[in-house]
Parts: sequence; C-alpha cells; structure tokens
Amino acid sequence: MSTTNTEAGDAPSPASTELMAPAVGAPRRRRAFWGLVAKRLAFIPLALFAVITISFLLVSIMPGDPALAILGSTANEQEVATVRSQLGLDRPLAERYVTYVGGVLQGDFGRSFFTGQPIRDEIVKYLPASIELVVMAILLAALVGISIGTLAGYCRGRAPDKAVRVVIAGLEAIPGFLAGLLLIFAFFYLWRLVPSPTGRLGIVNIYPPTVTHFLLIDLILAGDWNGLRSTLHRSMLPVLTLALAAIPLFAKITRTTVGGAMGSKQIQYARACGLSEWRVVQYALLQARTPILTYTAMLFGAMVGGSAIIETIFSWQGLGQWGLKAIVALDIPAIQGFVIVTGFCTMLVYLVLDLVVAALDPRIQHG
Amino acid sequence: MSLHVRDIETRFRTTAGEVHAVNGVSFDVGDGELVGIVGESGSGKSVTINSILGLIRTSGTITSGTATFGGRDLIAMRSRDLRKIRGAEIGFIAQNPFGALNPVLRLSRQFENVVRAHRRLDRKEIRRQALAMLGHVGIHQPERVLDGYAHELSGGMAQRVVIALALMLDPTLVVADEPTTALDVTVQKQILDLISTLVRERERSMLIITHDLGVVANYCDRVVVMYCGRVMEDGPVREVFRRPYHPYALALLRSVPRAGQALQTLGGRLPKLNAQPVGCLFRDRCPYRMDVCDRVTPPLREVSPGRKVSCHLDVEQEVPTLVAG
Repeated sequence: MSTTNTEAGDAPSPASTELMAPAVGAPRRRRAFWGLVAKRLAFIPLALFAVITISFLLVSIMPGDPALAILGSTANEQEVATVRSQLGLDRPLAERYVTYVGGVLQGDFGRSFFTGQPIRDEIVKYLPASIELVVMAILLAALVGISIGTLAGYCRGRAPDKAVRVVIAGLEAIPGFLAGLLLIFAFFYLWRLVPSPTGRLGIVNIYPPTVTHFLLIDLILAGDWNGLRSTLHRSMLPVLTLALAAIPLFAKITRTTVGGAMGSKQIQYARACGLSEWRVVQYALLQARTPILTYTAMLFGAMVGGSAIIETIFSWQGLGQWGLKAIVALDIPAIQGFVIVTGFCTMLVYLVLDLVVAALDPRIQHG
Repeated sequence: MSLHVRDIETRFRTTAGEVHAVNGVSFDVGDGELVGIVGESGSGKSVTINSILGLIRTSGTITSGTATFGGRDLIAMRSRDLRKIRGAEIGFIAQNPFGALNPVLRLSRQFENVVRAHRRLDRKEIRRQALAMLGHVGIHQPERVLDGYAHELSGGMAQRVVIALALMLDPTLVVADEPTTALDVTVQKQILDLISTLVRERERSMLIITHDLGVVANYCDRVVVMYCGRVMEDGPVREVFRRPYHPYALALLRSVPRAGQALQTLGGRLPKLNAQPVGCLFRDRCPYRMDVCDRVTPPLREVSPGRKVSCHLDVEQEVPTLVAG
C-alpha cells in the first residue's frame, strides 16, 4: 500500500477514495504475507542445493589424505590404496558428487570414516544439544544486552551510558575460551558453586528415554525433575560464557538504535503529547525492534556450530564440538554434514527473521 | 489560558562549542489569542517552544527565564508535572505528521496512549471520543482511519489526525510548530483554516510557529518576529504588516514575493552564536547600523500600546515605511 497525496477527503468526491481502500487492505496484506512465505520456502531447496555443492567441493579440495589420517604415518602404499578404495576416494570427483547428492536427497549423509556411524544419527544426536545451548545463551544475552543497551541509549552521554560502554568494552576484550576458563576457575574450582564442567548430566543422573533428542525437553517429558535441575545447574557456566560474548553485541546495537530513536521526531512528538517516559522508551524500542531482531538471527546462525570451543571446554557434546573433531580428523562425510546442517540452520533462522519482520512492520510491502 | 514568556535563554553544548540558540525571548499569548512566531530557519523559534514545553534534548540547557501558564512556571516545574500539562492542557501539532505518528502502531492505539497518559478512561470511551474528534477535523471515515496505520493516509489526512490528537483532551493552548510546511500547497490552506476555526470555536489560545508571513497575516492576531534567538518586534498583525518598526521586520516583509515586482532579498546570513552575544544581532545586515549597535543590546521596549521593538533607532521616525521602501 502506498501513500497518496490526493486530499480526496476534502474534495466533494466520494468518500471511498479517502483512503487506499483499507477495508480490503487487511486481507490483501495477509494474502501477500502468505505469498511471501511460499516464495521464501520455495527458495530454501535451491539454497540448500548450493550449500551441499559448495561444501562438497570445498571439502574435496582440502589438503591431507583421510586414508593416511586413519592409518597413521606407518602405513604402506598398499594399505593406503586399499583404504582409499574402501572409502570410495579413488573414484572420480563427479561420480562421488552424484553419489553424495543422491544420498543426501534420501537423508543419507554417509558414514563417519572413524566411528562408522551414519552421519545423520550423529547430527540428530549432537545438534539438539547445541541448539539448547545457543537458545539459552541468546535469551540470556538478549535480556541483559537489550536492557543495558536501552539504558545507555536512553541516557546517552550521561553516567549510565559511560558505565555501560565500559562494560561493553571489557566484555569485548575477553575471548570466549578465556572467559570460560576463568568462570570454571572461579565458580567451580574456587567456590564450588557449580558442578564440574564435564558434560550435561551428573554421574548419578540417568539419561531420560530419548524422545526429542533435546535433553531438557526429554527430561521434562520423563518428569525427571532432579535430572532437569542437575542439567540446568550444569548449563549455567557454558550458557553464561557464550552469553558474555553476545551481550556486547546486543548492547551495542540496542544502544545505537534506541539512542538514535530518542532524538527522533517521533519521540519528541510522543513527549509533546505527554506520554510517560516508560511509554517513550517503549516507542523507542519499537523503532529498534527490527535491527535487534536481525542481529539476533545473525548471532544464532553464527553460534550454532560456531561455539565449538566453548562446547569443548565444557564437554557439552554438541554439534560444534563434534564438527571440530571431524575437521581435525579429516572425517570428510562428517565435515560435509556439519557444513550442510549449520548452513541449513542459518537459512531457517534467516527465513524466520524475514517473516517475523514482515509480519511486525505494517509498512513493509510483501510480494 | 494565557502564556507569559519572559527572558528565556537556552544554550546547547555541541562539538563546535556552546551555541546560544535563544537569548532572552519574551512574549505573551493572551486568552483566545492566536499568536504567530516568525523568523528564518535557525532563528530559535522551535528551540523557544521546546524550552517552554520541556522538550529540550540533553545537550541543551535553559539558563534563565520563566514561562507562566495558568499561574504556574513551566520552566521551574518538575518534569513529571510538566508532562501532565503537555498533551492535556497544551496541545501540540507537529510539523511532519509522518515523522511524528508512530508508524507501527494502529492509530486507535496511539489515541489510547495519549488519552491514557492523562485520564482514566476505558478503551470504548476513548474510541467513541476519538471517532467524534476525527469527525470534527473533517475525516469522513473515522472508523477506517482509526483501525489503520499512519502510512495509509495522505499528508493532509495524517495532519488532520495529528490535529485530532492535539485537541482530544481539549487543551486551553495549542502549539503548532510549522503545521503545514510538510504538506502540499493545496492542502496547506485547508489545514490552517481547520486549525484556526477549531481553536477560535473553542475560544482557545494558539501559538503558531512559521516562516511563512502569509500564514501570520491570514490567521494570527499578533506576530512575534524572531531573529537569532531574540524577539525583534512584537505587535498586532495588522499594524506590524502595515508599518513595521524594526529594520529586520521591514526586510522580511519586503522579501515576500509580489506579482509584477522584482523580489527583494536580504543579503548576508545569520551570525554565529558561539559566544554570549553583545549588541544588536542584526547589525551586520542592517542598513541603519550605528556605533551603539555594536556595544549595547537593544532592549525590547514598548513604543506604542501593544507594540514592542528591540532597536536603537527612533523607529517611528527613522525606519521607512513598507510602501516608501
């Protein structure tokens, strides 16, 4: 819907031209929105195909011989050739590509060179753990980051803003792994406030029957409240570590957008109408909403699979840790599966972002 | 209700140093009076209004002055109390309705927010009143407008909505900051007719900021001419337009385009206001400059009943009339 400059309301012309037909506007908007959903969904297979192809090619041109990695440096040429042929590495690239894509289309990502397990099973096992970690970390980081960012943006240039900027600079200066180690040192080693950073459940706890592969959800489904408490307790440090890295990003984008909004005509008008300062901040956050959501999606995409070091430090058994192991071991099918899954997650998150932004802003034209 | 502004001074801290935006502004808006403040861009009109309404951003401070509204000083008032006056007792009409209205909230929500900032009313009652008010401002399908968003409206319609919001709580004073500059020329007159009619009907006072002398001539009772954050001349519109006393007012009136005549312009530009200004601020562009103008700031003095001017000249004798010029 575009704005119109004709002042039809004042002319003696029929009143129906007064607006750009808002009566039919709402259903039309809704229809256009679902059209956008369909269009974006249709785009997913195409993008996924590109990710599969690129990941296949990139991994194929990686230096190093997986057969050598499996056998070790003492193997003779005969043995290496045998293993290469077992892995199918002696066949031409094009043939391997067709076989691989054909497999992926049927949900078969091949088997790990090392464990022999189907890659699909490994992903199903490790991805939910990473998603749980990232979702908890992003929720925490968003809560803290948006709060202090709003405070700083609202009080721009004054003492609270300066304090927040110091906090942001401090958090940015600490690398994630160091923060993790320091937190373990303080909270586990010195103060014994949290359990040891060795996995998600204590030794005494029994893993719940697998339903969703999401440990927290499975524990709730099993009604194992002790286990849930233990898991949440063990989640505190890794979630905090990951959140500490994301807090400055949330705080900065919020500070900038809210600060900019505070100087806008819209906020000045809201104040001129006598709206309370709470309402004024709410209006400013409404303006800041889209950039913050965009950042959240980008962070989510980067963190699933990108939190390998944190997962390793805390033995989280997540996708990042698994992917890192695969890369070190030259486990080609695992690396390819890792790239495809993280790429797919990113695509999904961006899709959701686009749809949420489109649904939230009445000005965006769909289609 | 009447508004009495005395000696307002407002400064801003900027990266380029301190800017003295408003340097002792005084004027009155009487009961039922429509007053226009005119001046070039940068003459401090908007800053004056924002100072009175407590809308100065954090980089600015009001260093002196009072603004008495219904017996209370708006400048000295706590911001919480001033907030309750804004929107309820003083209605505000913004320059650009699309910049002012919230783009992502339905207009019905915006009416609710404004009313609820001041009164305890339920949603139904607010809606009823909003529909009635939208009818008053000439919107034919208020239901549709109320359930839609700002961007679905034309410029004139959106400004009507802003006017309706300003009048929702029946304020005794309406402040309009260049209410038609953002609109098409064809719509400007309709909007101004509407505002002035509504204000006069209700016997309310109004302060209009504009750089358009035509607006002042057609709609205002009194005019306040501002330059560099000071009042140069203040008087009844008819008299000031017939016989301006201040050389700046004269120059302004001469620069109004007239059919068949060459356009007279005023050379030079606004002086920088980085330091506490001394002397007459118009002196660099004034054809009647005297030695005293450099040294002494001319006070705003009453030269005849209801007419004030800040100039060292014996204005009635020495400033030529508009026709003779």
